[in-house]
Amino acid sequence: MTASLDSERPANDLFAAIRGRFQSRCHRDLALVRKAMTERDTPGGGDFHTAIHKLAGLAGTFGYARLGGLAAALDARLVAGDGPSYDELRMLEAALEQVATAP
Amino acid sequence: MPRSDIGGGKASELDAQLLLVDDDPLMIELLSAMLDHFPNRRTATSGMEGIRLARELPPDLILLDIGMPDLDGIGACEVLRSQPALASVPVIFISGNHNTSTAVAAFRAGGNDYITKPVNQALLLQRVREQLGRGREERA
Repeated sequence: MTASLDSERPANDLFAAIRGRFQSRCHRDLALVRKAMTERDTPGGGDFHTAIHKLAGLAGTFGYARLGGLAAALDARLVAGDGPSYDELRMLEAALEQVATAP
Repeated sequence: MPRSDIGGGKASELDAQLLLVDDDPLMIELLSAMLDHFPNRRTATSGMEGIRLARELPPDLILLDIGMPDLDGIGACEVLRSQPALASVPVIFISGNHNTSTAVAAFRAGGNDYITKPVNQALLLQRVREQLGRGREERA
């Protein structure tokens, strides 16, 4: 799962430490997504959108292509002014959970 | 000449002053790790702080995020380009925004390159080396 990082050299301890902090942030984002799933109107407003935008850029860079793709698709919908569907949030929740709890 | 020598090779990488500007501290950490071939790196988490650091010590290259809260990267680049000492410093935008209109606006603001997130380390290194090489050719 490190395709974006290991093209020039193997992942090292520094990347592993940063990845650990990314996983911690995934726990925070997971809580935001779950909160959004319970809201009927635009979920979370600007803070939610900012978190999804950052998640899209970071997840892909860490090599989590599925999570990055789901977040990027949701980011694009929010930019267009569309609210996310429950199914989209549910898929993002599952992908975040998988990354956040990965060893 | 091997592509990896663009920009002057290892000695140049040790000398080059890089300035990384992104409002996400985790992205700054990640970019710094990807660019650890370049030991002289400074970082800023806002457009205003980036401008201040660039004025204090003009870098050889600036990596500039676009989506930042106080002053976005495009606005920051316009400010940098208005400063004689910084007008020719290569600027590579790094953005999560894949819209063509944003990329065009970034180039119009004076950007030299535009990389979209997710960032690939090999591609990032290559484009940094190319911009450093061009900067040196222009100053020579």
